[in-house]
Amino acid sequence: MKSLIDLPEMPNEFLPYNRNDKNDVIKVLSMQIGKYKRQGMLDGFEDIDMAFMALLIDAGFNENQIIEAFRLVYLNDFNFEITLNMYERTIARINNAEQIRGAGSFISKIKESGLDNIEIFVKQLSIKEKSASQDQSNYSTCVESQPLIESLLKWNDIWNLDVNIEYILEGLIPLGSIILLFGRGGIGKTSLCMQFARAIASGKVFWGLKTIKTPVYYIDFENPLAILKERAEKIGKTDNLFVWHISNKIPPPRLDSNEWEQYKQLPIGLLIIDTLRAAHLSDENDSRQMALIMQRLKELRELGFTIILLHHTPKGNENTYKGSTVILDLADHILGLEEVKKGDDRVEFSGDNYYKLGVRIKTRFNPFSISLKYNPDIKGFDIAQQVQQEDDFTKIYNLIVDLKNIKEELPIQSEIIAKAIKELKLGDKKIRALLNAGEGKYWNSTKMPERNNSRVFELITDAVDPLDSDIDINEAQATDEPIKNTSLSVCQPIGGYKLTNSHKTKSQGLETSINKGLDKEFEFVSQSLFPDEPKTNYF
Amino acid sequence: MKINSTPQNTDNIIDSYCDNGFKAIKCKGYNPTYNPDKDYKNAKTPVTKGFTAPNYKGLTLDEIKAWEKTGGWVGWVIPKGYIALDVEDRESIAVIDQLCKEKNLSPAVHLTKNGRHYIFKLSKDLSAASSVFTKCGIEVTYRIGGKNYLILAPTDGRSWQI
Repeated sequence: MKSLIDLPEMPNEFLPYNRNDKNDVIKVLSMQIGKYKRQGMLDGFEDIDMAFMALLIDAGFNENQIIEAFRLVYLNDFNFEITLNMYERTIARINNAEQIRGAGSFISKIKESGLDNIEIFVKQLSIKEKSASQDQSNYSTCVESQPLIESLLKWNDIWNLDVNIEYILEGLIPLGSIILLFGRGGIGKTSLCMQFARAIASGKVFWGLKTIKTPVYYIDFENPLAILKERAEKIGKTDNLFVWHISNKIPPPRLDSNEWEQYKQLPIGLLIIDTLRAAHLSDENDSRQMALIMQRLKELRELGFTIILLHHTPKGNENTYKGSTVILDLADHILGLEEVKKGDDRVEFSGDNYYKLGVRIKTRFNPFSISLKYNPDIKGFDIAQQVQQEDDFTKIYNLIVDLKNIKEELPIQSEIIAKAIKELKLGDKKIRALLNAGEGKYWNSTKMPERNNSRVFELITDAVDPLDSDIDINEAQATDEPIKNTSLSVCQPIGGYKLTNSHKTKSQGLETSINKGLDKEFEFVSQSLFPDEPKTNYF
Repeated sequence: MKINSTPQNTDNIIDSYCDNGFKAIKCKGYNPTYNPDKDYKNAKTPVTKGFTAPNYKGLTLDEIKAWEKTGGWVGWVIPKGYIALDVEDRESIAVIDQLCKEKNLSPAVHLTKNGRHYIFKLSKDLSAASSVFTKCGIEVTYRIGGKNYLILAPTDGRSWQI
């Protein structure tokens, strides 16, 4: 060793355990059991492992915690397979309501052996021990069912809970969830997440999506520092965003190492792990190994963290993620980032390239997707969604005009939906969503008693796009880059009205306000997004 | 000066401890007056009093040499801002070693007759205590800087792990 001045700070693991923290207690208890086993003080008790396991299950520990506990009991002699098998057998027996020679007899044995230490720790785990006379050998975890059921949440009480699904990035990143974001290598997952990270850390509206200001930890196992610096410069500054880089004095712990609990020392926030593959040394196709990692992530989630895992696609298939299905099973929300293919003449990393970011395969929340456009200036993405949505609004708008002209009265919702399904080939839900989203912006609706209380739609003749009215666009991007081409409006393409990024109109009166300086850019956007549409002369 | 270097003579060892902020006190050792039965536990108990006072200066080199000639041992008061984890059982030692390895930490490791002292910096306010159960599950004794002392190498076969 060096001089004292070079010594490291004592790690928190050597601080006194907290008797109110079950995670601490289980470690102390496990070490003590291991110690007494080695000293032969628990000899003659054949089922000690099963009993200890039953006790831990009773105390509410999960598989991962129990396996870690057994690792501490056996230290060098620990065997993962045996432990896991025993865990699964114990759970199966509990699920089948079988009697387990378990926790009760374990406690009795402790008392017989005079191991007061262990007894104290067992009590700290809040195990409701039964008297030795009551239960020498037939303790079953099931006998605790009465107090347990009282602790369960009643279905009807759920209605009164003051909890709602919240998103730290509207529609895309649910608060307190595990999100898997997959995409082929090099598609831009890192850039995208850095943009998210900055927006969420700043609490700024991003691409028109609301955020909840949250500390963000970018756990970077992959990128060289120089790349990080370049991206940070392009994306812009923010407080509240921390990068835990592999070059750090204390590098980010691997998820399959004992150090993973270091993540718990961070204040609650958003953890972005770049990438899942680089964050462990396990076999990503091995369900047991991946289950261990995902269980640890769930533990972090239960503490309040939101976790985004960046992940790759398998070779030759960009439609799914790589590795064991356990990843899918244990993630809450899966997002895919994929390029919208546009023929052989596409140029890599061009501003002409469009992408889709959205829910894929599974979500416990709501499906959501947006279209993105590559922005070479920031080596990241801008939103292209509004253009698509504007197009849908335009179609609905025109459809309402048609209906009104045909029927010579204001159309009702069912008429609009029926016509839109037939002519626009849109789904019922989407049409309803569009009608709701355009309410107050492009049209107003009122219930009319004389028409069976149906919603009647009346167009707003001075339609203004929500982006133009709701938010400051410079804020919306949460970058320092000025946004081009942002005023939204209605213009008239051949055969109808088109809501676009650059022009304003005054409805059917067709008094169109045109910013000609932006025409070229508008045409580019419409052409590249809707290649099948004939290129129109909009003016 | 490194405290675990292999100095050529006792003077250098004492210098290295003093340079690192340790203060020397008299312990009974096997001094015939204080420990006629040569009891090991008794040997480690202090003769000097008041060494936890902030203005305690510690023995000088000459005083140390004179005391050791009588069979007495020297205890070294741990500098403030440091802690020694006193660990005796093999499993706890293995856990600490593994944890330090994983965290890439290099504490000073002092090898005693029955166990080890791991010396770290300490910025938290902890109390000296024996049989402390820690968050990682092991049982240790805390020796706190400014309050506790250690009998250091080369007394009674002690050494530093290089």
